[in-house]
Amino acid sequence: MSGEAVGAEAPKKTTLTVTVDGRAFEANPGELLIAAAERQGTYVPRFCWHPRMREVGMCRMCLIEVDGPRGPALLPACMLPVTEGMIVHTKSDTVKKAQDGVLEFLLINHPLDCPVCDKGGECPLQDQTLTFGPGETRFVEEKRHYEKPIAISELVYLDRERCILCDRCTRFSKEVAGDPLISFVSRGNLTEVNTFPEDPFSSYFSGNVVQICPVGALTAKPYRFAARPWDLDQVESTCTTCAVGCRVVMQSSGDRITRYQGVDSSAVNWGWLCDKGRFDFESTSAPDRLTHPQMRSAKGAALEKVTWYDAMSAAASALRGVSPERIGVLGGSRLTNEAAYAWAKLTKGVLRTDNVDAQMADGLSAEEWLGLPPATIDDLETASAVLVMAPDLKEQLPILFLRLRDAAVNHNVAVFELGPKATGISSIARHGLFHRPGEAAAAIRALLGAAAGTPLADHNIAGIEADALTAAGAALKAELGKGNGKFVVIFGRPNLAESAAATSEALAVLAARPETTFLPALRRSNLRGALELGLAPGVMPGRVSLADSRAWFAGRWPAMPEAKGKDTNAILHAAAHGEIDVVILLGCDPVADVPDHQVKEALAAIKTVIAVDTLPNATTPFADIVLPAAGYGEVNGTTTNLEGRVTRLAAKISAPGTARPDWMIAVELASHLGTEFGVESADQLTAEIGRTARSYLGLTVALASGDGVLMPLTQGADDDSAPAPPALLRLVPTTVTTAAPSPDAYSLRLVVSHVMYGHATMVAASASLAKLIVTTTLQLHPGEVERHALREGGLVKIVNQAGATVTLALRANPSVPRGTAFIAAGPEAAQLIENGAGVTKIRLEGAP
Amino acid sequence: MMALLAQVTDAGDPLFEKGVKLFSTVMLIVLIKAVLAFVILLVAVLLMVWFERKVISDMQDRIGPNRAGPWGLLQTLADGTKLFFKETLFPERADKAVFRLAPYLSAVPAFLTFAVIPVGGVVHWFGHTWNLQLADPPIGVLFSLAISSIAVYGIMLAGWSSGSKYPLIGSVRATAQMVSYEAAMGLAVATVVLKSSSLRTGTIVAQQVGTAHIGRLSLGWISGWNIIALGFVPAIIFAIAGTAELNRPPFDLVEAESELVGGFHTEYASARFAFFYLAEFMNTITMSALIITLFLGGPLGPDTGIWGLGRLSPVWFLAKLLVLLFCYVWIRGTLPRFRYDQLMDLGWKKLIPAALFWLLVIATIRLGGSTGDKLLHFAVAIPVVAIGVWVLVTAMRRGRERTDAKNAAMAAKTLTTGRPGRF
Amino acid sequence: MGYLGGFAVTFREMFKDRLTSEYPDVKRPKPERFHGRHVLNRYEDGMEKCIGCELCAAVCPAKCIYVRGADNDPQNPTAPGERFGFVYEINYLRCIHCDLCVEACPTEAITESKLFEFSFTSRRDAIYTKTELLVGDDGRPKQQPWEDWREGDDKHTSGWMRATSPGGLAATGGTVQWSGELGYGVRAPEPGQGGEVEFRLARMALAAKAAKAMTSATSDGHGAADPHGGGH
Repeated sequence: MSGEAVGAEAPKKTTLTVTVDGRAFEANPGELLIAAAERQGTYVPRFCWHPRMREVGMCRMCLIEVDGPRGPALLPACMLPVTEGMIVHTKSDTVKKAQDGVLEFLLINHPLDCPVCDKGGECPLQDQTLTFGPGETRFVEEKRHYEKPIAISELVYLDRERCILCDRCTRFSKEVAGDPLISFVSRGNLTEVNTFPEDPFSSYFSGNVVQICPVGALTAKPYRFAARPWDLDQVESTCTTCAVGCRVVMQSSGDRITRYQGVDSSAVNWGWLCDKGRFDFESTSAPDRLTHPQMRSAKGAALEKVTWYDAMSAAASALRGVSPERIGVLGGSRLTNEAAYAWAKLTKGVLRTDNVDAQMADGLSAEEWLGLPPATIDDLETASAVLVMAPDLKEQLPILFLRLRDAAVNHNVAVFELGPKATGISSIARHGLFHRPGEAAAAIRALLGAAAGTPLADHNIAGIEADALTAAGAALKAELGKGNGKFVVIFGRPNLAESAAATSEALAVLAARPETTFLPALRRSNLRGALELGLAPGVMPGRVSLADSRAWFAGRWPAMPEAKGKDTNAILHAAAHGEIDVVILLGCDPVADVPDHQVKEALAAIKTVIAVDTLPNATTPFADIVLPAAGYGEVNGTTTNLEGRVTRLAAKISAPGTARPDWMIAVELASHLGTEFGVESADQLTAEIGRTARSYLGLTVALASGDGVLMPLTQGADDDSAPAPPALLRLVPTTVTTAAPSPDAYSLRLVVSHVMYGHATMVAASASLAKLIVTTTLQLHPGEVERHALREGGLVKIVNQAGATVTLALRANPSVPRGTAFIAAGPEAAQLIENGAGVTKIRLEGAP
Repeated sequence: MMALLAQVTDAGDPLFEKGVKLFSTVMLIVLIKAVLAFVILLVAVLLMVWFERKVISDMQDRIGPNRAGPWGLLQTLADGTKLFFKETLFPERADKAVFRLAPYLSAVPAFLTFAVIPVGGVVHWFGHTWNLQLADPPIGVLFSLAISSIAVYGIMLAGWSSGSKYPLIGSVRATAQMVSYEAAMGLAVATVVLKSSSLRTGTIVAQQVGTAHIGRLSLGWISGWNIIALGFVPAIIFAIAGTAELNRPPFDLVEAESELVGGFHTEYASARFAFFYLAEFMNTITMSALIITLFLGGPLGPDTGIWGLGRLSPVWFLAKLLVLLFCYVWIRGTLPRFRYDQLMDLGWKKLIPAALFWLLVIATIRLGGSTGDKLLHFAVAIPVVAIGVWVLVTAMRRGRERTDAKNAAMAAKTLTTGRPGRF
Repeated sequence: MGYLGGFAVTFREMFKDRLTSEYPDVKRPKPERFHGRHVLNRYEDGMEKCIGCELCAAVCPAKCIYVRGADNDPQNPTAPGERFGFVYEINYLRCIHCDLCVEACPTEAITESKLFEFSFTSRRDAIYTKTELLVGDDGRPKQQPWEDWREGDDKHTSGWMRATSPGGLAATGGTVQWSGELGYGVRAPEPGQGGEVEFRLARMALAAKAAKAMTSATSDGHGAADPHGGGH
């Protein structure tokens, strides 16, 4: 409320004046005193307060004196929002006595574990005792004893003796992660933190409690006794396990990564990391890392170590002279931006082939991912309503789930879930609409229609009850009427067992709605960067189409492909028919990831398969030339997260053996083919991207530091140089309506989607995470189990339309709707999926 | 005493009285004497080095060499062997011939000088009568002085021919030092010769038999020593000058490691260095022997009777030699090194005038004559000496004052102008 | 003294005792806390004292210690508690024998013996690993082939730091607060740390306490009566 300018009235002040230790400063209303003081340079010691969690005032360490009407009062700074004219003393004698007292009490039962405690050296209790605490102990009695430590999950140890009952871990699990699996038990002097009996702390975010625990009560198993904080040196980087791009700190000792810690990035992850991203560092030092180039003398022969020169020459001669239509390039989502650009330049600019696809036939087209009005992760907080039409965010993009949860719980954002089954976000969604697989478009239309007030045609549309749709529609209308009316859609491909066309149709419906912004739920690490930088058919670096950008690249690149090429499905299809001579695999595993059971035949039919990878995987037996690449933590560069934010990656350790960065392999291969790229470092490539890629114009290494930068830049992006940069991709939504497949009482529709600890290479290569890999099961609604007269836990034979069979154990899961079956993505699911078919229908046969 | 003199005639060596034939016993005896002298000298050097190291370490509360051989006796042998096995370096800029010659120029004179030292009396072995002395030429003392001058050559040429800075500086210093002290040495010897009226070492020894006795016990073997007869001054001057001639501490700045690395023998390695080392110690022994001969009565001992030097005379010689060598080592262990200007000061301004004046005094005494003449002589000599001494002392004092004044002026100039004057 | 006083001095010195000793036949006895080669000590029951806490490595100014801890096998623990020193290496080419590591060690695991004549002949030999540093079953250090020991050299090893009382409380001063060592038992206090009587009394009390703990069972591993440390 700004005051009207009447006479010489000053504008109303929006900040509050607070005086701490005699120094006055301005604080924002609603800010907690402890945060405001820290911002101004006065550190108030604390244990239980965390800037990203609600305050509880449990530890009493932050007691300070605030002047009141009856003199200075001892109050906890973390529970006080600032008020105008507050006078605070943090260094008075009373405060010191309070700090001494609190610490003395905390240390009474705290065991003398510092030498053997993992937290020693980085322990807030240690540091605050030294800085604020008493110098001597008066305690000569016996301390309490508990069994220590106990493993509350596969990854986390709990030591109750060390716990100072600050409530951080319990608050995090309950408030932030939504998995209240650890909490206080007992009372009074016997209070302890523990998990429920028979209920381990199997949360996807359990690693975060280790990081926020102010003592060594919660320690991480993979890091247990690995090193001491003073042994470690660290560098800030970005996690590339999934596409959220959390900011991490990589800590290493003796050229081995020992752990990751989350960095508080306001835009992305707020300091949290999922367990997969936190603990998959072990894969960098896995014993079977590829260290030397290998080649097969003939198909079926064993791989032998060769020199780089020989391997490169062989690769170059395999590529030389092959016509562009007969070359295929798969993968690229595990590359850095620079490597993606270098490979795009090599494949499209030198080899002139457009059969380049970074996706494993499990996504949408580049136009769909990138060509819609963009939303950022921060937009989730300020939206009026969020529609999630994506795979399970909690399984695939866990930190995005945390951000969405925070928006839903703390900012009252209405979340609408629309998908084939209930997922991890069902607990925070106001309305969950679970349609039959393959009928998303109909469900969307119905929802939007209900929101617009149109009465529904049927009492059951696409498997959803009309009442539910009407209620959801009305709620949607109400929410969008409030606030700023922002509608954010998080979209992806929720079901790999149905064709992409179904999802595209649904997306088209949403895209046609004005004032809708979209956040693509891309799964793989740098898929966004790969797509932006041209590793997709018909797309050139910079999110520009092949057709529109000929003039732009004419002066910048040696050549360009002639026509739009094939995507992964088409490449593999062509390969199976003998139309592809050379395929380059850029850090991908088609055998495991492409949801099609004919991948192996396709690969076997290719003359030369060149694989560039860090670890051997299911596809390596088909590779003829294997080039070892330097992996995460060993390369410099940048990466792009799903919202288009470019952040930096740092190299901390040396690559094993003679493994090289991917961009270097591309540059050298180009050199062998006769074209010099003229780059000698990743930074030079970053600069070239900043000059050449339309959506990345103006990118510099400095800009990408810290929290990174959203691309495209809003200022300075329009280069005034001639020729004018081409236009960015825009999705032109089709208006095709496909007929929904008819429901079938005899068969179940299959839903396939990735889970957190599925068959991923990095997870399998990390010893701690490998233990968490779940055996793939067939999941049915308990009603369906009954209907099929099956036994939970028993083996079931599953047959698809084409007659392919798979045998899996059965598990009852109430979140799977009736008429649907869920199998986690993997080789078993791939066996059953018919690539190209609308939906996959399966039948069950009893135990064999 | 007359009998003794009669034995030692000016006619020459008693060995050669009967004539010399080439292949006779006489020649054999000469040969044996030469070889014996050589060997004894070498072994003596060996033992001298050991002796010095042991005594020095005793004075310094150390043990000293005690590993090679019993009580470390073979230490010198070990060192010598080691030296001979080392690589012989030949500097590129060294003068080939002279570099090779110089060590010998240092070592050989040491042997030669010992030739004229009487070790004992007359013996009658092998059917001949001969002295326990390699040679007894009538110019014995002159011979030894001349030969010791050759030793200077050795050092000078060694330093110059090395073709390097420090040896050159060392040798130049050494030369200047030795030359300056030779003058003092010569003047001291002159007093002895004045008394003995002979340059022959045998005669000088014989002249040192005195006539004092306590009751029937003859003390003639000690009362006639030149050190007593001539007053102590020439002996002391000779001893000091002799030490300077030898480049022994405290006059050893020629080889001072802290200033000149090794001085004149820096560039010499292995065997050649061994020669210099050998030469220095041999010279020490020889100089001690010379002092004994000139001032301490040589082989004179209690068993010297009217029939000449007794059978035990080599023993007395050895005993005196040991005492003197001990004194050398003692001096080495006690006194710090002279600075070059102090050294020159001592030699030119103190020793030479003192020796000169004492020579004058002795000469005055030796003039003889009646008591009245003597008094006249003294009446002339003493004022002359007094005036001379006064002139010298005043000159020295004036010189010192002038230097001090100049230094003060320089210092004052620095303090006022801030720029250092030239000191 | 005069000019000739110096001669009297040197002459006199000739008859005084020599100060040189006949090394290596005769070796000078070393002070109790002489800083020599390190040893890793063990408790009286044979368990290692080192808990792999890396405090010695952290404080070492020459960065010559490399430690990595590991989990104790609950069935067969190497050191009391959760953690033991799995990798322990000292690089003697860097060690300056400052004994800051000895001061830093919370369990008195690392102490320095009086052995300093260890002339290794290769860089590899210079890096002493845990096997070489750990005391043997008799509590004595293990002699390496290049170490020059004389009779009894290893007997007076393990000069060590002894704390007088916990928390600086004067009332507990003089009582034994340190644990026993393999082969040596509980060491006597230093002069001034409490007399013999107090020492014996304290030792008796400790033995009584240990005996009582043995008889009364405690549910958790190293609970109240911990023979591997003083009172908490």
